[in-house]
Amino acid sequence: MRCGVFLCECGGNISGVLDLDSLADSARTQDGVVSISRNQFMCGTEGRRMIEQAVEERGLDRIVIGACSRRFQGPTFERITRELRLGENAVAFGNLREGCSFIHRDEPAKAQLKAEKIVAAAVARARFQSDLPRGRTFLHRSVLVVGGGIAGITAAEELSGAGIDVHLIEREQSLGGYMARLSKTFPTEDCAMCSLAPQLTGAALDPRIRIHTLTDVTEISGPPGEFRVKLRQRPRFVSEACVGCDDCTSACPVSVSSEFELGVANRKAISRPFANAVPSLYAIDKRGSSPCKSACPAGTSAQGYVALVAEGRFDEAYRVASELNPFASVCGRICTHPCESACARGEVDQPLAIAALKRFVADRVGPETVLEKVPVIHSEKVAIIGAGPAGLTCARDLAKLGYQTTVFEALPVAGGMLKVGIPDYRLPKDVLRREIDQVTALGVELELGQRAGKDFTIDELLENGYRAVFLAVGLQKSSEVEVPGAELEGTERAVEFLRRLNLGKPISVGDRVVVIGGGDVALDAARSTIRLQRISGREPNVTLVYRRTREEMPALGEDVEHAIEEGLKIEFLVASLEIVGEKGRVSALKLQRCKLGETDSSGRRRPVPIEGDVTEIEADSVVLAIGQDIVCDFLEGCEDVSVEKGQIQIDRDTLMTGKSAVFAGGDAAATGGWTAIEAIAAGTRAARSIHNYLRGEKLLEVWPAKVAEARPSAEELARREVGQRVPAPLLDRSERRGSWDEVVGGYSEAEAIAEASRCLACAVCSECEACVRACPAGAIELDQQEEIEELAVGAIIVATGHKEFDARRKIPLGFGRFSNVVTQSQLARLLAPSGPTAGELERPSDGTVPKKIFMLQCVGSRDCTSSGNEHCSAICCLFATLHASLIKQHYPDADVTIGYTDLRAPGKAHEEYYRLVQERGVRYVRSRTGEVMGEPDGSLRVRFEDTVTRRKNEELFDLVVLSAGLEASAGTTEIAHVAGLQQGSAGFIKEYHPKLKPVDTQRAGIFVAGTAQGPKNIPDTIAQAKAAAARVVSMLSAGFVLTPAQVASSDLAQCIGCGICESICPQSAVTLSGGDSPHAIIDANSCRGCGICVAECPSGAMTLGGFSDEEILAEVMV
Amino acid sequence: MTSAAAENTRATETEDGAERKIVAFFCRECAYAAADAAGNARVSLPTTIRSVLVPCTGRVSPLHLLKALADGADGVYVAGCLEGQCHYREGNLHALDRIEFARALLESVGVEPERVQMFTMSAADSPKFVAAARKMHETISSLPQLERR
Amino acid sequence: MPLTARGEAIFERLPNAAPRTSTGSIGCQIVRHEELCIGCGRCASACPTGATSKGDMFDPMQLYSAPPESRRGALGAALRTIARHQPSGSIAVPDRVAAFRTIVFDAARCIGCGACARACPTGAAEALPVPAAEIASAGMNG
Repeated sequence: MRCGVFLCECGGNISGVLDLDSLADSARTQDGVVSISRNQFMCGTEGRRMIEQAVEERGLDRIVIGACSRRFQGPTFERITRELRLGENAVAFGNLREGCSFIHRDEPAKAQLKAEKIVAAAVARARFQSDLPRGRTFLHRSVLVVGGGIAGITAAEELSGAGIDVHLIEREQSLGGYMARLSKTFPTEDCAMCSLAPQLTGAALDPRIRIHTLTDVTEISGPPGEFRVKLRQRPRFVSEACVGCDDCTSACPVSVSSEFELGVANRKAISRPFANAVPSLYAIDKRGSSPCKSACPAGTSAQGYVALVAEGRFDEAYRVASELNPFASVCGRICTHPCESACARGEVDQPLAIAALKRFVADRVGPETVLEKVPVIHSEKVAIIGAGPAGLTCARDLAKLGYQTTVFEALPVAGGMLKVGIPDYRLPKDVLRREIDQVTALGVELELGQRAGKDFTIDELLENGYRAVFLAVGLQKSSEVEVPGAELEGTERAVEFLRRLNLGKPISVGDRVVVIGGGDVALDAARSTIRLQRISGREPNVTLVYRRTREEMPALGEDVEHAIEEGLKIEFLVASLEIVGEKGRVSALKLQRCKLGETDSSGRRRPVPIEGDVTEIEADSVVLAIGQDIVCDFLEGCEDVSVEKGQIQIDRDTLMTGKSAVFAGGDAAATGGWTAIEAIAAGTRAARSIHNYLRGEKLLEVWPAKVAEARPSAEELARREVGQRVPAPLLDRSERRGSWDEVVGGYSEAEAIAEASRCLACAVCSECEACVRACPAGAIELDQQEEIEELAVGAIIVATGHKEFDARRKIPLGFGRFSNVVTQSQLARLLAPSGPTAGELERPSDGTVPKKIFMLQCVGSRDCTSSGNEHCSAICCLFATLHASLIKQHYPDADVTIGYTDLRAPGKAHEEYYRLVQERGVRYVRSRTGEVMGEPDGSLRVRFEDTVTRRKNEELFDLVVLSAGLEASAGTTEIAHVAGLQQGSAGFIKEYHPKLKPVDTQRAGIFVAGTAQGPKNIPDTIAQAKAAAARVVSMLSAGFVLTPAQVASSDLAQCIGCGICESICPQSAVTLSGGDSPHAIIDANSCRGCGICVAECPSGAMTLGGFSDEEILAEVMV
Repeated sequence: MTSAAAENTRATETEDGAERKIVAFFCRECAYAAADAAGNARVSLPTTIRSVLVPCTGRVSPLHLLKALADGADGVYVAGCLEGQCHYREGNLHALDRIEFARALLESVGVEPERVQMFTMSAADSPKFVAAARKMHETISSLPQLERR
Repeated sequence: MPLTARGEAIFERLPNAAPRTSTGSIGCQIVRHEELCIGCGRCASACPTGATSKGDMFDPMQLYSAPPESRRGALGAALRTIARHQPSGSIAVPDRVAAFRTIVFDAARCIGCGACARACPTGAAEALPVPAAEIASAGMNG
């Protein structure tokens, strides 16, 4: 080491206390010191020349400065050594001023000794100081601006002006942010949109600004200068072809509360927030699949037809209801309606009567609707065995795909179980016939009375020109359960009994009938028997016996209720032991009483016999309704199709059996429950799979892709008013017993609309496709998908804005409970000429113009309770003043009172404005408000204390406006997490330094502007946005940045890869390399040089530039 | 001698009359700034204290503390930012734990743990800085010189 | 402490893997040399059964016995210079002190897989082979 020591007199500040000559003598004895100089001001130009000269003449490689604190002149001397090409770490400092002469003026002798030590320590330290390598990071000349409000737009425009490319990210569908919602701005009272619109247009037209709407930033990685950013763009479902004609919104049946109008007006599921929106495209708010749609095996959009019914658009509703389901009117009656079980309205009061609504539209529109015949375009013919719901649905769907199909049915009638299983009082035959007629009208051939296995074989079909066969044979017989005595005369099996009945065959029933079972078939057999007994002039006497309780009964609750009304007796918790006979005829049924035990595999509790508790019911007839089974005769003469456990074996994905070209579905090959709607769904899937098979290509999804279910949050549901389902009319019970007339009636038009209006529109877009039909430009693209994009940018500006404090948290103020309590922002919408009332102030409850208005300040601001924020929201005093002034000018008679805490009007022309508005007659009362109470006429009683007079007041107002404060928006919190930024109180982004670096964040290269950083008005927001843009420009103009010198580095040879540094680095600057021998990798751009990792490193591999252990200990040891 | 300086000296006279040596690690963001502010205000401070600048108290390891004692200091202290206000988020919290650890080590070998201490202060709080320096000086002066082998 | 997924996988492969003795059902006996330990904790992260873990205590004697050129050794030398007596037992370690911790080794949980020894950068954890006969009696079958 060749070290030069330079002692500064500091104009006497140092030399007045310390003897520098003696200090120089002491320094000269230090090892490595080859030159000593002193000057009056080492930091001046003379000092600099001295250093330069000494370096040149004496060949110095280290400099020791004995002067003031390193914190003052450190950078000056580091710059000198850097420029002398010694590196900035070639200089060591002895703090002779703040560390010695200033604080020991009274003890010069001791001070002198200490000064000698200080210089010696600096020299010792200098020996260990080595040059610090610095990397270069090249800067991308592009910037990510997050947030498309006025701050983001301004920053983007400024950057574009500097020739920098900008990606402007907005999570909503349009730029504009909060300012777009304002009516006027203070103190000039100029129209907000008039200032904003040109900015919006400018951004839209700027070739350097790329706007990403409906987009979230999901990941930010990499160093400043070359950040890697991941964006997720949610689908808009409307393409660039949109011409903005607005035809779609009148077509859309779904109305929900508008976010842009802050809840004071509704919007449609397809919408554009305001006329000047950028981009000008509409967007569809589609939040997934509604619970009703997800629950429907056939995937019918119940929300869709319900929404259309609510609007009285029955034709369109029928189209949606019948599109995937040829049996809409059947399902409207007998479906097990899983959609209703899933309905979110059920959590509020009762689920929507979805099936009844479907029945309403089908009954009203269905019969007249004749489907357009699709020409046969494929030469392959398809045979379908069984004309039940599965077979006929498959036939219809194949016909719509352009195939010729033949449906073979063993019975002389079509309809399957719908026809021969369900009695007329539940499903009138003409209802079913009309829907079957619609299928055959498509060109589907129906061959009745043709039994597979007997009249023809499946193999013959394939040989005779059919290229695919769909087996939809159903379960055609009752299960042959072993009940002793089943052979006795008077024993019936329910499936066969109902079939005979429905085919109009002669039938007789006993006087005392017992039905065994708890499903739909049992119930239908029992209720039919009641009717048969009545019609033959007897008093009905039917008992149903079931092993479990009513809760476990598979039959629908309402049907059970109707049956009981009709006189059915039901015995629960009894198992059949034996049918007792007398002379070969049934005389009684012996029963074992049970109790409920453990839950079994079906999820129901298992009946357990109670030992010894046996009873008998007298009966002359017993009907067994315990399950159905497959009849396998259709497989005669057909190989390779196997049946196991009563089900045809199929491949679940394609529905194909073991035999090529032969498919199966419905009850005989169920993939879900054995219900009509499952059979219909199976028919559709089979048609798609057969189409794929015949075309040799996967053209259609057999099973629709799972879509996330959209369900309102518990909080949203709790806010809904509790109502009631509109009841369907019922046939009088006494009339019912002797008649086959339909028991449950249909809704009237008014009832249907009322019921449909209860829908909560869970998924918002109901997928009814009314917009698709209405759009003249063909711009609707309902199959758009989410897109992920990755970008590289040099810098990031966070301008994600604020949100209004949720005034509901202040319960006594009545917001959310009384419709005439609104927030200041909602009032802005009510006053905006472009708003829902076209600028007329109408109070929400009744649309009248309020005469007396109370504005309450500091709602959720300057509030030390747990439900509010401590900060002042800065804009509310002027915001209220502005609105009061607008009201006063528009309605001079209006009486506007502002209840304030302290009136704060700093800022240019703000105080003057406040005085002017006072003169306009607005009353300002310094007060504290206790409570807002609702009156029956919608007016509001406000209790407040005048804090000047200390008087307690109570006054009636027509409208109360809450000046709810500002909090960080959800987007701000999100980006803070993604970017690793610190948030301060109320969630606002913390700036690096509140005074000196107000737009820098804790993370280099990321800047903040606007209300994301804290509450502020529009001019301050714009100024800050421009400041942030300027910081970016100055950063990017350099072309590259040097990585900082004082960063941690790890010696690869010593690092053992324990990962302690990775786990403790507060900047996440250290990562561990992968592989067998991992080692620490430090991102020099993220490292801020605190040295925490160095102190914790167990191997000694980690060190810190400028602060190695040797450097620190050298200073300590002297 | 001003009265303040007299105060310093009187309160810290050692039993054996020999002056003690104290090594102090100051973080650059807060404590060193407070020290500079105290210096600029010409506050009189004990000459026993030798300051060492570190970027953050999180850089100070147990080795620095013990090595200072082993190499001639009678006491050592660390001064950093207020809790929750570390410019690197957590450095001062690490320092607090390490000091607790070093004190436990000293205790286990029979050395007074108060020879190692931690203080926190804001950059603006030079009075707190001065109080800490004087407190440390008094504490160490009341203890015997640290013996070394 | 339940087994980690890795531990489970190891037990899966063992026939009738019931006892988990220190001699190890897999075949190694683990010997620890605490004087070589630097407290990095790699052994604890590697251990599939939780037999080796980073403790909450530290024995200052480990500073005295550590190699003089190591970081622990340097701290030990400084401590020895000012110590008035031998360290009087283990001390509690504050949360944020990472490396000055005595590794806790629970022989009853050790399955002798040797993962710690492979992970150890200093040889403080050593895996010694156990004769086959001993493995059998140690519990391959019982």
